[in-house]
Amino acid sequence: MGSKRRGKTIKYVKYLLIAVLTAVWLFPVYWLVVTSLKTRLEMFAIPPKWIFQPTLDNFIGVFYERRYGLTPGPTDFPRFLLNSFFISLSSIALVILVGMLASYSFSRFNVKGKDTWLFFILSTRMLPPIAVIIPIYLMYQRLGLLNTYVGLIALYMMFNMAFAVWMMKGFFDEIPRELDEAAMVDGYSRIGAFRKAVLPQALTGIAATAVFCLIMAWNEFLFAYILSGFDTRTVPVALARIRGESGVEWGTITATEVLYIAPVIIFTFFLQKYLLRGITFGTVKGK
Amino acid sequence: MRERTLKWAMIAPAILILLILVIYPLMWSVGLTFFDYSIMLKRAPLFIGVENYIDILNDPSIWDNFILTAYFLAIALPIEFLLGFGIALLLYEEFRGRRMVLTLLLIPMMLAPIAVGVFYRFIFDSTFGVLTYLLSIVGIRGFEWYTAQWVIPSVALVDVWMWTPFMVLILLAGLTAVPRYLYEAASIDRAGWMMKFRYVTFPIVKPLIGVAVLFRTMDIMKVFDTVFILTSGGPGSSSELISFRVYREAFQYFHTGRAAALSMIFLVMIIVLTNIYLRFLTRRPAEAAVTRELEV
Amino acid sequence: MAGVRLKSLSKKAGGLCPVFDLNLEVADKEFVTLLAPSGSGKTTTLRMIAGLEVPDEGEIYIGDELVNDLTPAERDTAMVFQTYALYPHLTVRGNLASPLRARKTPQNEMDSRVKDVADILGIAQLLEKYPTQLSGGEMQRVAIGRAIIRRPRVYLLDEPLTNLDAKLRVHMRAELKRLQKELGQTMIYATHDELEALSMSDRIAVMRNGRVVQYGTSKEIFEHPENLSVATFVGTPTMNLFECMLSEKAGQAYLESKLFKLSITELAERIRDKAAESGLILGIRPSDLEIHTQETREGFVQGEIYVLEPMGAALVIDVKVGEELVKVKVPGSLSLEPGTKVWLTFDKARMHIFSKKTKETIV
Repeated sequence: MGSKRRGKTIKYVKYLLIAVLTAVWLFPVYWLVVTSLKTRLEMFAIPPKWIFQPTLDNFIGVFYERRYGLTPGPTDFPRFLLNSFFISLSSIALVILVGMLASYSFSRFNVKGKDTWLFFILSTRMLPPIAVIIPIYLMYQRLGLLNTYVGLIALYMMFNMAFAVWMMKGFFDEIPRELDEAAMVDGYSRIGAFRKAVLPQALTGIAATAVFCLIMAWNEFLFAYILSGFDTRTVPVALARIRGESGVEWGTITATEVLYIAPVIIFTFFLQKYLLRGITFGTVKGK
Repeated sequence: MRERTLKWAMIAPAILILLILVIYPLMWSVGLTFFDYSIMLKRAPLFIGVENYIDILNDPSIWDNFILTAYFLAIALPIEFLLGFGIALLLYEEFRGRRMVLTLLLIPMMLAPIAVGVFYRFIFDSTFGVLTYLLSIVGIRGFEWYTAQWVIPSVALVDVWMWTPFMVLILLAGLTAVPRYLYEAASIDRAGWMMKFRYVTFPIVKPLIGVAVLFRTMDIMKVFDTVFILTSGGPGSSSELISFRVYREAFQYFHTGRAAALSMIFLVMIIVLTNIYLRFLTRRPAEAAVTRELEV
Repeated sequence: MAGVRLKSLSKKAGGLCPVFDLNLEVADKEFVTLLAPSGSGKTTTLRMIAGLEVPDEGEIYIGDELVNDLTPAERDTAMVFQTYALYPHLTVRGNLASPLRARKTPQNEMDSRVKDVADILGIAQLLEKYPTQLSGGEMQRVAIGRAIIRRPRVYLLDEPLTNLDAKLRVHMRAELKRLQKELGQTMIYATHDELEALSMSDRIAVMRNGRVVQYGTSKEIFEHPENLSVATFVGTPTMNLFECMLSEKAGQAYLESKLFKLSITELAERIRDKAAESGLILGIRPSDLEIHTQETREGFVQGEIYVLEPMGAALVIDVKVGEELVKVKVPGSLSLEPGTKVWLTFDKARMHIFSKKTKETIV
């Protein structure tokens, strides 16, 4: 009787701890959202204001600025946002396509030196971007690829290739070879078997890989910072530059950030199942 | 016979991209390290052999960078590990909403380090930052984070915030992979919780701990975005971690050749770590533990 | 519809069970079984015929055509996999239609053929279901349906009944046999279950370690095994084996061992040479032994009942003879007690003598 009572108390303490933990951990995110809804005055109040009247002024300010002494007009943010979208989506679409072929090949065929190739591909993911940024900058400079969409898209493809290949290979490996074979005996060519028998099965896995890569491309900073110019600037770079200027507009910044991280948060919920696999590059599989 | 060409044709585009955008630049970089070259100056590169490397190794500030990075690692990693382990233990048993809690905890990991860094400046600010305020409540007044003393721990805090959930996830996966009947058998043998941990839990979780620690070590060494946005390596150079130093050499001081040399040294270190990591992964028992289906 | 001919087929590399110098001829419309324990290369052989594996050496002919260089699609074979390999994302209808769709058959023809096949196999009511919703037997029939819908030249079946429960297996054996006769197609079947092989096949190719060890009808395989491995592989319970020597005295020849002395003068001619090389092994099937509770003249061995294994219609008696256990199969109606002294006899026409180096000599 006594231990049962104690067991129950422990349980409640545990739940309390977990609730507190979650609340504390997510506090910065919460605070970010809250700050973005405050006015400038409220933002800097000491002690910090917990109760206030939310306003969407900051969010409007992200898209449409009203600066003192200047005529109001749209900000550059929509352009940056569009750039982020365009570059991320294009590079990921291409990476998935190219990666899909390679990972299928690795999964199904006896490629000579397969392990070496896979090791090589995985190791490209491990290297620090800093190590390649210098020569790539020089390369791009010479080829006139600085501040171009093509340049950034190609780079993001490189960036995500290893991850995409490894993740998708894992998913293809899970599909029994006999499915390919049945399709071939049925009368399909290798590619036909891939399209008709394997691909439909692997779609969820491929989608998860795509979302992961999208998030990584979306969040990328260094390469974008060095290799983009005004025309191709992405949001992370814009954020970094705002910081540099005097009179930091925290209202605009927080609103921008909220807008920027919102899709990522939404997608994280969709990736629940695959998170463990994704963050360890497919080496650890979770259920 | 057509299959032979097909399989190479399918791999080719992926490999090609990596060759052009990784291998080629790396080779270029290696070559670059042997020259005195600067993007800014309008003269041709001058071959100077290993002088760049010697300069670097003789430069005390570079050693400071390495020390700072090690210091950063020494703070962030143990905290991430211990905290992660504690939280994993807390979340070990099934309860309603567990999946939701896990997903929520994983959000910090998925956010752009840049965004996180920007916002932590707001939180850390000594005037209006909410952290400063909360600290003052518990009696620590006038907390200045942007000082030589506190800047690295502050950046480490951000890293801990973002990446402890990573540890939680992996350790949790390891903990739940331990079959329950082993614990039951140990109970029958009258084992206390400490014995259970040592002989049942630890051996099975060990390879995953290895995976997590190695992974994080490599990642921490590569930290750049956070430092860039939060401190720019300052004040002065008291938070100048290695990757940031490389950036500075290349894009602020324009010592292109030298920066390349430093990045090569850095790269070699990472490669060594990567090799250990991958060898660890492909060892038979570890492999079995790591690529099993785990209950999370 | 065509026969299959395998000439000197060989595959050693590739992590599969290897096959060495395989020669086999399957006539048109014949039902041939590759009978072998797991790992003997029967799956490898089937896959080579289908085109899923490339042989290291040798030739494969379907009909009169050399098919070595053709892709699986071009060979016009159909294969039923051990795991059925149904497409999980397609309905039963989709699965059945797959071979037709691959060859761009017009829609109405596909529909009518799907209906025909579904009717033949009794799965018409499952057409809109998905493989995950089907039972083992149903999935298997869909797999068979997918194979027969195209009327290919050759059917290849890789242990299709192994994953079914016993009763269903027996039922499907008859069904498959009937189907084959009805369709009049060439079928090559692989299994490790001797009952399946014996009951369904026109001819059986017994394989061991990648080679064909004997090729003949069920009767031939059972009654005239060419060597020891075939003899022991086929037949349950396994054939009883006794080591012995040929001894000749005064114009009489005997097979002699510690346990018995058997007069075989009439066969001495045939055995003598082989016996000189090595020792001999005498084999008697449990079903060929007779058990007597009283001593008889032509006694073979004498022993004591050790254990009774009732098996419904039949009864297997383990008789302890000296240090050995001899199995005897008798009708189940017989009633005996353990410990009883018994005498065993047999018809000499049904004995098998093997050289110790695995070769048979007489029936």
